[in-house]
Amino acid sequence: MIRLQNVSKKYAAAVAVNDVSLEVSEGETLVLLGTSGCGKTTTLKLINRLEELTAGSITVAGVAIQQQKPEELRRQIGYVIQGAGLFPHYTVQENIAVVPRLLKWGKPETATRTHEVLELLGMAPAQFLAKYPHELSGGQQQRIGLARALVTDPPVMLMDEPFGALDPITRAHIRKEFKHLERRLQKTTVLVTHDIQEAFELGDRICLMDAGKIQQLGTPQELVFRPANAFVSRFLQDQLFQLQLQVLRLHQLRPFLSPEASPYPAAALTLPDSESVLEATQQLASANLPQQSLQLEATDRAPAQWATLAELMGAVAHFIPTLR
Amino acid sequence: MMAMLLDFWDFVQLQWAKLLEQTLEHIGLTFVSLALAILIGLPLGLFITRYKKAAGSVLAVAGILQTIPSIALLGFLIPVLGIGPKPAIFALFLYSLLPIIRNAFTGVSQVDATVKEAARGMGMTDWQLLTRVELPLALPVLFAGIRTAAVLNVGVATLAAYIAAGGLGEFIFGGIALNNTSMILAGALPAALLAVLIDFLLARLQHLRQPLLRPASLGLVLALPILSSFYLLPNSGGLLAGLSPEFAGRADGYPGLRHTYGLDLNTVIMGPALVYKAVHEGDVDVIDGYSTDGKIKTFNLRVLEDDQRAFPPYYASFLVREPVLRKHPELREVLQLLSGTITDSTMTALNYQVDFSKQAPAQVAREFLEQQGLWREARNGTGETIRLGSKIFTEQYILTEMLTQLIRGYTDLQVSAQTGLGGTKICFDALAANEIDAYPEYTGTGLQVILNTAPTEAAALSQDKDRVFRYVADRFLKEYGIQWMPPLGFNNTYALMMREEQAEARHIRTISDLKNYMTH
Repeated sequence: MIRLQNVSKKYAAAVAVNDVSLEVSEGETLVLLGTSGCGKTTTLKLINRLEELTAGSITVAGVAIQQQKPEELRRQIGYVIQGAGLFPHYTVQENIAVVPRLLKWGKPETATRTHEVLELLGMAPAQFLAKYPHELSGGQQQRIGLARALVTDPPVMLMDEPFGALDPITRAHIRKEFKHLERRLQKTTVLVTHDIQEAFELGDRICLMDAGKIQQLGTPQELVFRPANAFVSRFLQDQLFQLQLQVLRLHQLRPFLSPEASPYPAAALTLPDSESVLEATQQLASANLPQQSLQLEATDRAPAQWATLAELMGAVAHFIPTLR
Repeated sequence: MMAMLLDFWDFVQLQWAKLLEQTLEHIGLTFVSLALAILIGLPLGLFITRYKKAAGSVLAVAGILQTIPSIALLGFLIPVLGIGPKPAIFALFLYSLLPIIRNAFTGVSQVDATVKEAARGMGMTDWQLLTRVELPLALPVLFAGIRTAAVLNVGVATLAAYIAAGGLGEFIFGGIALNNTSMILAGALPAALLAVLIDFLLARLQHLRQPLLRPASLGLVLALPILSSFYLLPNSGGLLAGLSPEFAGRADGYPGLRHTYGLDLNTVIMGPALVYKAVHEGDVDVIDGYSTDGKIKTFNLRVLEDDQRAFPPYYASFLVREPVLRKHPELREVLQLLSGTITDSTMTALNYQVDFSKQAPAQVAREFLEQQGLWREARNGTGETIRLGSKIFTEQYILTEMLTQLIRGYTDLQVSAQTGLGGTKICFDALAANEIDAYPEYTGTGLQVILNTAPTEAAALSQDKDRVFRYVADRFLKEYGIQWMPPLGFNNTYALMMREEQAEARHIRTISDLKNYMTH
């Protein structure tokens, strides 16, 4: 859906993006991760031509971006930025209608879609349509920013630190919502963040960048368990254990667990085996069950299996050598 | 204070039609120039948000324009644009530019970068970004600039009266020239109220909330031409008279002419220094002036004869404090040497030599005295010092210089001269307060300005120049202990003047001719 080939962006004094090639397939979420100044935001902006590339080529949906007028290209792509960037002089309704207006949609069509998209985001249209941005909380503003990008149902979304301006609690909350939304909408998304947690939570694949270059491009598991170089290891070092738990799925532990279902299913925490180990241990730790036992739901291919927290950690040790 | 208010009230009641006219002119003048400044300044301000390299120099030029003192700016513009509405509007326009350009620039520049990025990221063209996002968000700042410019304009527009562009300055200048507080107030008070009102209204506009801002700015755009239209250009039918503020207001000036001749001219008010140039260049056809002014010769003007004696006689003479004369009898003899020696045309020629041939007053005075056989080498005596004063114009400098040279040549007294003491009031007060001993004065001024003689009595006396002289000499001696010396000979009175060719072509020699020409 999006393809960057040997893309570079040079300024007079520095090289912001240095020979980057990557592909984002349809429906995939690719996270550009790195510290500030690593070139991730520039890479994002090259895609919708807010920055013009100095070398290489980019195609979106098979069409070279250089062959389109920048404005027309951008109207086809949803764009969400840090702090939402809502127009303070427009109501929520007018803000959401910006792109439909640029695309010369009719009023009824715009209104219908505005309602749909607000409901999708869990915001009651009647309550919010006439409000001005300054009357909304940060989280609400960010949701409207998202609604504004989604209203025309663009196949591609570019998101630049979309949750960066929010407090940690709202941020975690919205992120979770967004993740569910993503699964439903299946947009091709490129998301920029400097937050490792966020990257691992949202990304189907993660592109870790430094000094304008890709350090590693792969799934969260690949980054955690097969870091490509010393930079990647160092970058993830501080949160490594948590990330390892986060990328491991319960079904990966099945071979190392007792093959039986729990004798007391009512006393065990039951989860689908697609859940991450981190999530499972966190829930177990706070569930206050007598034996702290967990039951994996049965699937087409595997039976229900159960384990105590200690047994679970024992299975995890097979993946994490340092635990052994 | 109460009396002043009552005077003021009387004045307003008497002059309300003129006051209304001037107020409307003032509003018009303010808003014509404001509209022009918005028309030019707004696009320019927006342009430099896109070409930031030009911003520094554009703002610097507008800033420099603003620092030129307003009266000087008008002065600079007169040679280029002449007098009247054009230079006035242009000057006000230049003053309004800076706040408008600067606030348009700042207003747009300070729009949140995130908002601008969002707008571009969603696919707005530069023009859409400007008109839908930046400009609406910059409106409060832009309004603040317009407000600053408007209030500034109301103030500076009072100066427009100086160059025949009308407005409330007419009363202010007239009032200053005539030392008439009511008249000054009648101009200053409405001007101040206007400034406060405009400031208030535009402040309301500036602080409106977003949904109302857009209709409000549309309203402003519609209101500007309407307010501007209050400024109707001065009527150009027939002959146009350019009058100095003092002449226009004085009982023995234009009101006297209307009374005596029934003369009704189309008039504009302008600074006294400008009337000669204005008539010479054809901006106006008739002006007021002084009958011995050197400029009459320079600009080849015809002085219309005052055949019905509307102007009181203004025979020049020296005023001297009586005690000084008693103490130094030789001074009286010296002063009498000049008596009757200077005719109208002589005085005009002497003034001309100083004003246009750029000779020093001392030089001109000496040559005149030599011609008259009166000049003597200074004796460099060491006697007491006689303090001479003069008002602030050429003729008085020359007369004071003559007297200085005579005193030094004929007596052992010393002389100190304080020239340029401003107007009549300052000179006379200095004399009465024993700060100077003598200065040249005119009989008509003594009668009207210093003695404040009632108009009817003054008019009756004015028919005969000798009676005026006897009257003022008598009263000055009794009331102030000040002596009028015998008249020097010339009569520097008010006069109406026209360009020689025009007057000739229309057969106008006297003010009655002018009146007849006007009525058919």
